[in-house]
Order: sequence, then structure tokens, then C-alpha cells
Amino acid sequence: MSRPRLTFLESSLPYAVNAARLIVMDRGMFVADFFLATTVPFLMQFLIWSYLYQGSSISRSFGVLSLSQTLFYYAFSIAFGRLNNGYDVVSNLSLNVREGTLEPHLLRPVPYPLQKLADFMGGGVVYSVPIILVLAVFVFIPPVALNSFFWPGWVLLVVVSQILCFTLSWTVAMMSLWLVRTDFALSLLTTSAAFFGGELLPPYLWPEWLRPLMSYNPFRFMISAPAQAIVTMDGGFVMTALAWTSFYAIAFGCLSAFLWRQGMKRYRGAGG
Amino acid sequence: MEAKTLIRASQVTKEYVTRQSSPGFKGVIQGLLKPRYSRHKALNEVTLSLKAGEILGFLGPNGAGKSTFIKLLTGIQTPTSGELQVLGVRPSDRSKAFLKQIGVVFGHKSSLWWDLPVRSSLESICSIYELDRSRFRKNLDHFSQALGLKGVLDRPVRMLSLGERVKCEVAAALIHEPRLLFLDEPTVGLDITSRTELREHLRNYAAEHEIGIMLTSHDVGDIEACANRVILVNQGSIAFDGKIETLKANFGLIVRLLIRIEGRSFLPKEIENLQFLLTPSLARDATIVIGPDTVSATLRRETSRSIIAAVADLDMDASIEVHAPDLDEVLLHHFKNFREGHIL
Repeated sequence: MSRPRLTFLESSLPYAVNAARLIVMDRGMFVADFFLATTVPFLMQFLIWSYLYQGSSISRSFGVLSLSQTLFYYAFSIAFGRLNNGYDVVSNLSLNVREGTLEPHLLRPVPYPLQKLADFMGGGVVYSVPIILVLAVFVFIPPVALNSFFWPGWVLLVVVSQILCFTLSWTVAMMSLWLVRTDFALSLLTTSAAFFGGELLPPYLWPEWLRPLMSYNPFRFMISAPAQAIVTMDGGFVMTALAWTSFYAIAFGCLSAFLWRQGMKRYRGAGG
Repeated sequence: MEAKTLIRASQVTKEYVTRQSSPGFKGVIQGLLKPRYSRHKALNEVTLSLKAGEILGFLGPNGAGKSTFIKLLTGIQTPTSGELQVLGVRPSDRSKAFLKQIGVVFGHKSSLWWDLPVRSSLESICSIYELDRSRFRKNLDHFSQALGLKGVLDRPVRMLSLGERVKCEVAAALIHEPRLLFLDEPTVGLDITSRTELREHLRNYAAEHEIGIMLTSHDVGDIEACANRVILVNQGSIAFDGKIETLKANFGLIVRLLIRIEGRSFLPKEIENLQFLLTPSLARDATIVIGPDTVSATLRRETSRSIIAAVADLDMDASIEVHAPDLDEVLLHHFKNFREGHIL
């Protein structure tokens, strides 16, 4: 009658598939995300950095990356910024809690946090398209040596960075179970990601006293660390970033699991 | 062979601790520095059982504890004390095997993917519950036919009418063949056609598949049409547990009196006299409705005799009819008593 021994991962697959379908179906969001939210910031960075690097030896001292590397750094960072964006994770839970509509989802045989992880990863499949496009340009236009050792590590780093983004966002989302309005949590998440993620400036361009924070905060490993890794093709950096990203992903995973258990004890929902 | 017991609740109590808020700025500061808490029993020592094939109607006024009980039975919440076993396990453990054997419909809350076609939601549910594809197709055909869903399967959920959506929710709750179905106010907001179709389907489905159904509703018609047993709950405690017929008979001590005048309206003096007779001081728990040519009152049988005699003495040329009240009236009467602190 029923298929035996399907794992949680398999039974949560429909959530991932549906999340991807919803993004593709919502053409307005698709256009906004792919064209406005990615190309406009890139164009701005392109104009700024082309001007700063123009012929001047002083401007070259801005960074250790060449102009083309800097531009690729921004293209990747912006694409990773969209891929690893936990806004929906927070806003969906907040909405469900505020409207008292969590119960039907809690009663599925797939744990709710896993449903949301699958949702997030499913959306990630669609949002990885800009990364693949930038990667295609990066690999084929100025030919890059395909280091077979580097690539698996980098792909793993990307996947772990997504898990980190989810666990961090889910931890922030837990505020919904204690607070009435979580707008400030959303602002905190998006502002922190924009500021600490490395989309504004690579960490080495910040004042020296700020560099440790800009280099080792969790948002950095969600957004600009995979970008820096691919642009520099530095296998050693990939391993370091992978270790930090895994550490943060596990730490936020444990924290969010604890908060979820505590939150569910106090969650009441609404009656009829 | 005796039917299996699906739900066994013994002395189940659920108590909520709520942080009290005081008015004004000073109150807010005090609340932050020295919070005060109050305790409220949503359910108080509830004992009941439900067998396979049984449809149990759970009735009570708002805030009586109906939804809380559903949340305890489905494992969303944990009882403060007492023992609770659903399908042989403790629901609050929320094991995958347990969750796969229950279906739940919350009338106010959708479990479907809002922007996707109904069919996609149902297919997803099939994978989530690990149901065999051929079995799924067979069940989908059955629900399409029985609930008239053929025309809506390929429409996004957000484009459906409320009636269509609730029918889809019921199909989604049953498509994985659960042994126990919880329906929390499933017919809220539905028109009479949708309500009737749904009631008929639930009755037939429970009989055919021998599943247990627990139904809470404000619509007494749902309970009357579907349930073979009813529980009245008030302020967290069970006030009645038995057959609907017994409920009606127990409370058959109530009658509805209809005083009708032919060919004209009541005169002000006549209304005044009737009001005087039917006033709560004479029949304390009566409900009186006064119209231009009819006056009706739901009142206890023992008070009705003296009122009938008194009305006849008024010499108004009015007809007096005595009706057995429908379940709605019985409950209205008793919910009113609940509010006034009387017990059954």
C-alpha cells in the first residue's frame, strides 16, 4: 500500500520542487530578482570600479585583485547575495505565527523546519542560475585552469553556505514565536547581510581594525567567501572558508533547534 | 468483533500560563521588571474515548476548549496532566508513523499550496505521505467524483471559492487514507449546498472506511447530520457525552411555545401582558422573541404549563403551539445556562 522506508529527505522533496515552481511561476518576482536585483547593483559596481582602476597606479593600490577579478568578485557576490537570502524564511514563519496558520504544516509527517529547509533549497536551485551564468563567463571567457581538486571543494562550500544561510535566518525567524512584530528582525537580517556579507567592499578594503569582523562573521561566509574563493581560485581559502561556514552552520543549527523546541512549548495558535 | 479504540483520554488537563499586562506606561514598565502571570485551565480533567467507525461531535461555546483538545490530540500541544493515547501512542511525541495515520482539516487554515493548482498540492501530499501512485490515482478519482472536484483540480487554490477550497482540504486530509480524521470547524462560511455535500461525504466515508472522525463545529447541523455521538464541553469540562437523541431527550425538559394571532397584529397592551407572563422572573431561563403577530419562547416544560393557562386566560383569540425544540435551540438554551454558571 505505501512505499517503505522513504527518508525525511525524500519526503521533503515536494517542498523543494514546489518552492522552485512558485518562483518560476511568479514572473514579476522572477524579473525583479534576476534583472533588477542583480544587474543594477552590478552595473553600479562596474561603473565605480572601472573608474577607480582607470589608468591610475594609485587606484590600483585599492586592492589585491585586478579590475576583472574585482568585477567578477562583485558579480558573484551579488548572485550569492540573492541565492543566500533568508528574507522569505523569516517572513513566512512570522506570517504563519501571526495569522495562526502554522498548525496544518506542523501536522505533516515531515518536521516543519525541514519543510522550510527544503523550501529554501528548492528556491536556491532557481537562484543558482545567475551564479551559473557568471561562472560560465568566468570559466570560458578568460580561460581558467580546471583544477579538479578545487571544484568539488567550492561546490561543497556553496551548498554549506546555503545551509548556513538557512540556519542563521531560521534562528532569526524564531523571534516570531516570542515577539508580535518581526519587522525589525527582517531589517536586522537584510542590513547585516548587506553590510557584513562583503557585497559593499571586500574585507581587505575595510580599515584594519574592522577586518577581523568583516572577514570572519557568518554573513561573509554566506555571500562573499564563495565569491572570493572562485575569483582567487585559492584551494587553501576554500578549505578555511568551508571550515568556518560549517562551524557557523552547525552552531546556528543547534541554536535554532533549541529555540524551536522552546518556542513550540509556548506556541498556542488560535482557536476557531 | 469490537471496534478498536483510537483515542483514549483520561483526566486530561491543559493549563495555560499567561503574562498579565497592566494598562498605561507604568504598567508596561512594571510588566517588564516584575511580570505577573495568571493561570487558565483550557481543559479540565477530560476523559473520553473514540472507537473506529465512530463520528464524535464536539460542541461548545467559543473558548470552551474544543480547538485546544484537537491540538492535544494531534500532538501540537502537550497536556499539563492526565493521560492521552491516540492510535496507541502519545501524540506529543509526534512520531512520523503517528502523523501519517491522521488527517486534519482546520476550517480557517489552509494546508494546500496557495498559488499552485490543487492537483499539484495533492500530488505533493502523496509523496510526503509516501503513498503508492496507483493508490493515489484511485483515491483522487474517488474524491473528484464524491466531492465534485473534477473542475477545480487544475486551478490554483487561491482561485477557488471557500466551499471548493474546504472540499479540497478534506480530500487532502483523506487522500493518504488516515485512520483518524480531525475536523475543526470544517463548514465555517460554507453555503448550504457545500455544507450538505460535505456532511454526506463524511458520513459515507466514515461508514465505508471504518475511520474515526472527531468533528468540532459551531453549526449544530454538522453534528446532527454526521455525528453518532456528541460531547458538550463547557469551560474545559465535559458537560454531556452521549447520543444526540439522548441529549435531546435529556433536555427535552425544554419546549418552544409559539403564540400566534390571526389576521391582525398584537395590540401594545397584549404584548405587555405577554411580556409580563413570559418575563424571566416567571420563567427564568426562557428566551422570548416578540414579532408583530407571533411571540415565541423557549422555556422549561414545567413553567410552560402555567404560562399556557395564563395566556389562554388573556382572551386574545390567539393560537398556542407547543413544539419540541431543534438541537440548535437546545444548545442555545444550554450555552446560555453555561454563561450564567449553571451546570447540566
